[in-house]
Amino acid sequence: MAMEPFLSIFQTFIFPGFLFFIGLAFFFEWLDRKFYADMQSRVGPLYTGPRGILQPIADFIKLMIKEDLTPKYADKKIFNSVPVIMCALMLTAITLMPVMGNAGIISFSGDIVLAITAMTFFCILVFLAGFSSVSRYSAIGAERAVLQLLGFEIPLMLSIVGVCIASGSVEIAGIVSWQGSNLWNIAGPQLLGFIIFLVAAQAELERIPFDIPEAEQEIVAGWVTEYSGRKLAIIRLSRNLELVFISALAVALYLGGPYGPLVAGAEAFLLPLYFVLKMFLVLAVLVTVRAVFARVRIDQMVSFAWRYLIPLSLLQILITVLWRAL
Amino acid sequence: MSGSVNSGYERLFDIPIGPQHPALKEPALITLKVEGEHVVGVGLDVSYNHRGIEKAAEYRTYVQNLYLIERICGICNVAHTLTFTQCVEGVQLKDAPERAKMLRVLVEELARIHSHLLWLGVAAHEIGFDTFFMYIWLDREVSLDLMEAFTGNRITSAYNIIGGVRRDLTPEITAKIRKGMDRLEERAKFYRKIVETEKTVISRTQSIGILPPEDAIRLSAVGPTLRASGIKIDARADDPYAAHASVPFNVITCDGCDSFSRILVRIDEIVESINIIRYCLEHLPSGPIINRLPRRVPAGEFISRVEAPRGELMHYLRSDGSDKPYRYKVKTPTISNLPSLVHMLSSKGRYVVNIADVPVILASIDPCFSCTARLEKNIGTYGKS
Amino acid sequence: MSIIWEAYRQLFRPKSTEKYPFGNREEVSLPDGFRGKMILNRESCIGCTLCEKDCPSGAIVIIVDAKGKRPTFFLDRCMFCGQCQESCPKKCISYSKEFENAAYDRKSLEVR
Ligand code: SF4
Ligand code: SF4
Repeated sequence: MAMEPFLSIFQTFIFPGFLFFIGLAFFFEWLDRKFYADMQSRVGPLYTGPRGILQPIADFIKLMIKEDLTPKYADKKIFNSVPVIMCALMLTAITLMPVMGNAGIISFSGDIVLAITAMTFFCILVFLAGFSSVSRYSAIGAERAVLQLLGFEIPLMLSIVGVCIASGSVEIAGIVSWQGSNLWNIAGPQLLGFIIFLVAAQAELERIPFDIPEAEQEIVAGWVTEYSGRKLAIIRLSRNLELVFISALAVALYLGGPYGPLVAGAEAFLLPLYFVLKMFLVLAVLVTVRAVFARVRIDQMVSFAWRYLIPLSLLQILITVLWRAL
Repeated sequence: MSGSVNSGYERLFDIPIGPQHPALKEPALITLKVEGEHVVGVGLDVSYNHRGIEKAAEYRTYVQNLYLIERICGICNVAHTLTFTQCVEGVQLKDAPERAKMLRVLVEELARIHSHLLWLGVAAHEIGFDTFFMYIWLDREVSLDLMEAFTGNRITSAYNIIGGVRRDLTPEITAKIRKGMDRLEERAKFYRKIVETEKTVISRTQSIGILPPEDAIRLSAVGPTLRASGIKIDARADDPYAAHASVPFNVITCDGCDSFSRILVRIDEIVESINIIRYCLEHLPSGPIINRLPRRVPAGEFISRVEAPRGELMHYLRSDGSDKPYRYKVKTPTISNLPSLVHMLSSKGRYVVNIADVPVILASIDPCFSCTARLEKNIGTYGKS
Repeated sequence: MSIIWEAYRQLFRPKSTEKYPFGNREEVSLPDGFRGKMILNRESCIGCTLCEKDCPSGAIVIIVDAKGKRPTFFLDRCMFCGQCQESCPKKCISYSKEFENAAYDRKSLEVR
């Protein structure tokens, strides 16, 4: 019994807690860059560590020691606090992820709502960051981020609602255990929902074709334009954490969480392994999408979401309800 | 909020694109007056890179000027030297040998291929299609390697010289060029297929930057910008220079009048240039490659024009009997396309320009601002504030 | 969407990036006729100074030594246009394939 507090501290901070996820975030950035480069017949990060695996960490450290500028007319309180809140938000949300079994480090009834809220709140933070910078590029980027939120948030929620109906639970642990005893959600009528989820996730993560709030060729870096140094490093870290979070959520909701063929006695080792491997799979899909599309325009994005994504996600809910009823 | 922020909500504000901006490869300032995402006014200032080349040309001999003129533009250097040598030859009423003329066409078309591929890559990059951009620029290496093997340098070729060309074609190079052309043709067809089928590319470029034929003529657009509005004007066909009179080719046009048709026109021109190069290799006349001309040029004047990759390029030379020009004047294609650019960037009626369209429209004329910077002027409906 | 197959094919192909300068330096191949650092054949030069007159960037300075007038090339100003080779009546200027012509010191960029 005396080990209990130590175990929970270990779980929260080391594995599968913050340290694990931060490490995974850097690893994901490397994987993302490497895979993207491979598709373009480039080499990607190469020299820092074996095959450049330490490059994201090197970039992080480099940004950390760079000069940190705050624009003169920026709203300093908001401007300075946004990166920290972003990072904290993502670290909190990520503890919900069931890496080791049915439930994450934190688990309660209705925790899926917290996950959705975290994603929406991230967008609000993006808006605050852009708006408080008082730069024209940032303002336009912030405006675009909110417009984009109007487009992708509803399909994202509806696709998650589909999952909840299918598994009959609003708790991530419940959804995962349902998938453990039944089919994986992706094998059922949720395939459509999975696709919608990935498309919306691409928008949430601001990646091509939906990297509109920071379209480099149009508005320089969008809402991040004015950030530099330490704050930029934190923002980049929290965006990598968001990437990890969304892939983990996709795995938990659709790909059966950490479950897979198990060998007795090796569960503690195999479950996280399966979980991470499935996350790589999701990442591979996300990178492929990033590689094969051009960026769309904001009005095209919003009308695409309302014209196709939302009707499709409603249809998907309908199918799920019928499927459950049968 | 901090006190210095203007609390009143401003509906209109300026977005400067440039002088330094990721969408621009060269310094230029495009001031956009925007209302939300919509552009309501545009001002253009291209005079950031004035280098005084025309004046510098008056202090150099014709031989030295060749290399100065070559550096007006890096990408269309072949077109510039070709125009210059034609001017000097024209004042002397002499001509380059037939073989040299054919070789000039060959190198000109090779440069056109590499310029169009460069542009295609930039256009793909402007709409955020980086994978396509990487593939195109990788294939551009094929044409650059051929250029290097043939002329001795990847970009600034120093190939055309007064009275002829510098190097002759060897059988190895011929074989290399043939092989390179086969590869490029295959890739150009692949690009056309991607551009025609990729939905995001179509939605970003179709009906963007519309330039109706009447306006194109009225605003004196040139080159692929003009031909994409369905007007068949090409200096190679209308006023054949070098060996173009004897080389058959089609003037590519497209009726779309938008950025999408400008992409198609340029891809088709790559294929057409490949065919021209193949024809030149087949029908290369024998004979000398240079006709040595005296260093002093008799008094006179001459205008020469060449279809550069970006459009019609015009040079004017006035000589006074010495070995230096008395006056040299350059009109690059981009300057002719600037009025059309402003026209395309201004929203009118139902034609609305978004901020996201600006880089696409800008790229669609294939601007080259540093060869254009010969004037100090603001163009557009909306000046510097 | 046809680009997706191309993208996946690229995953299994050798990458196009040349790892210059950290990779194999020898793999960088230059074609014959490349204009790199020039070589002057001092024996056959007759000191006519034509190359100096024609150099568009003033990279050639004529110095007088025991043999008479001989050109010195300052590579920091040279733009490798090839005009000096063209102008030389004795054809005593040629170009090597040496292209790594960066240095901390102007002195090391002289070719005599
Ligand atoms: S190559 Fe051109 S710039 Fe260099 S020394 Fe010779 S003439 Fe001058
Ligand atoms: S032109 Fe040739 S011969 Fe005359 S000085 Fe120069 S290198 Fe010597």
